[in-house]
Amino acid sequence: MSRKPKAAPQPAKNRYLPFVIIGGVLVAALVGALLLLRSPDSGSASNSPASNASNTRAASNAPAGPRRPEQPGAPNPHFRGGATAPVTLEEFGDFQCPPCGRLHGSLKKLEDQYGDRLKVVFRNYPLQNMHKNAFSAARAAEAAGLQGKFFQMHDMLFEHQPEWQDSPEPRPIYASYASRIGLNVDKFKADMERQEVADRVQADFVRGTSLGVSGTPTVFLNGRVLTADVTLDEQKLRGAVESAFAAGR
Amino acid sequence: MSDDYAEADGDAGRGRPGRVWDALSAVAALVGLADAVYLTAEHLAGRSVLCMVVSGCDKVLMSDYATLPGGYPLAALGALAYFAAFSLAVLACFGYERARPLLDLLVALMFAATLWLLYVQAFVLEAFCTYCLLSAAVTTLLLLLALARRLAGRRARLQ
Repeated sequence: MSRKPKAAPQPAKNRYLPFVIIGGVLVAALVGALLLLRSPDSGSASNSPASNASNTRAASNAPAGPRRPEQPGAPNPHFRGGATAPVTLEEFGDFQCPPCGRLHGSLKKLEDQYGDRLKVVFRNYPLQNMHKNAFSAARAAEAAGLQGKFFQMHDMLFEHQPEWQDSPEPRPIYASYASRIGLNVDKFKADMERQEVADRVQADFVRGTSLGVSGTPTVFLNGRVLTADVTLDEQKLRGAVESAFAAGR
Repeated sequence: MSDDYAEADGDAGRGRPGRVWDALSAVAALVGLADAVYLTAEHLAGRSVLCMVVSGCDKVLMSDYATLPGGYPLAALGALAYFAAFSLAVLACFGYERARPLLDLLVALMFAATLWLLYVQAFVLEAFCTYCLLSAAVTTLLLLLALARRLAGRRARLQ
């Protein structure tokens, strides 16, 4: 195969232009990735004042635009641990979100470790545009709550997520969980359809939005939002909780 | 560098028609790069992605197949591949002859990986992810563009 004749030397502009283009795209890709990683969707922000703590995200990272004042959420929120514990974790979660499922495991360990010294609140934040069964799952948990077994259903939903998340009709699966945790299944089914149950889910969602939540899981530690890398890393989460205990001493 | 550099406006195989295919390949690779960068960032942030058209994004992206040994997201490898494809296409577009066979080899490897990932989605996970399907479409387009460029070059040489 004969070698093709080479061209005359090219003007310097043309010779370097491809490398300028390649370098520009590399920089754009890296900046884009960084912006996506730091976007509010990764965990959003709180209304609390900006903090110097390394594991909290300052309010300045909140989505732009006017925000409603902090909303109370559903009354008598579901929580585990001590009602007057010095440290409170408030999770805004979606039962169909896989990272929320991972966080569930970490939180269980923290709850076991700290007992009544830690209060872990769960707020519903179903991302219905991403997860088709998220809202019905939230209703199932709230319906179980009417029989005093919110967290038993909460645990079933997270621990058996693959069973129902893609189901075109998950209600029979929820009913089977209701049976397994000892609920009155007929009442559970009826409660799932009650407006009061949907209103609780909606109230939690409104509270989350008022705090700047836009993705799940978003966790607030004593009112300050945690970044996604802390929320999803058990050791970092434990470290943040320990820091909160230390700060309260 | 200068040894590889040839006149871009020469015959059809490496001249203007060839440049058109290379430019189209560069644009396609950019789309793939954006897709892969988005998936990499969402994976690293531990977020669910907005799933359009299909409903199995989480199942695919949270599966073991979405993570490389060491915990690195597979999408990061895709981003590297698309960036390499973009770079080679740009260099080929500007007359760097040696970039074209490398681009063709890379695209062939990417297409093979795409076929494997489509198999995994269809028969192992039984779920599809919108962004993975977009990536598969881009890789297929890159393969078709490479084939079209080679065909155009062969025709030009015969004339």
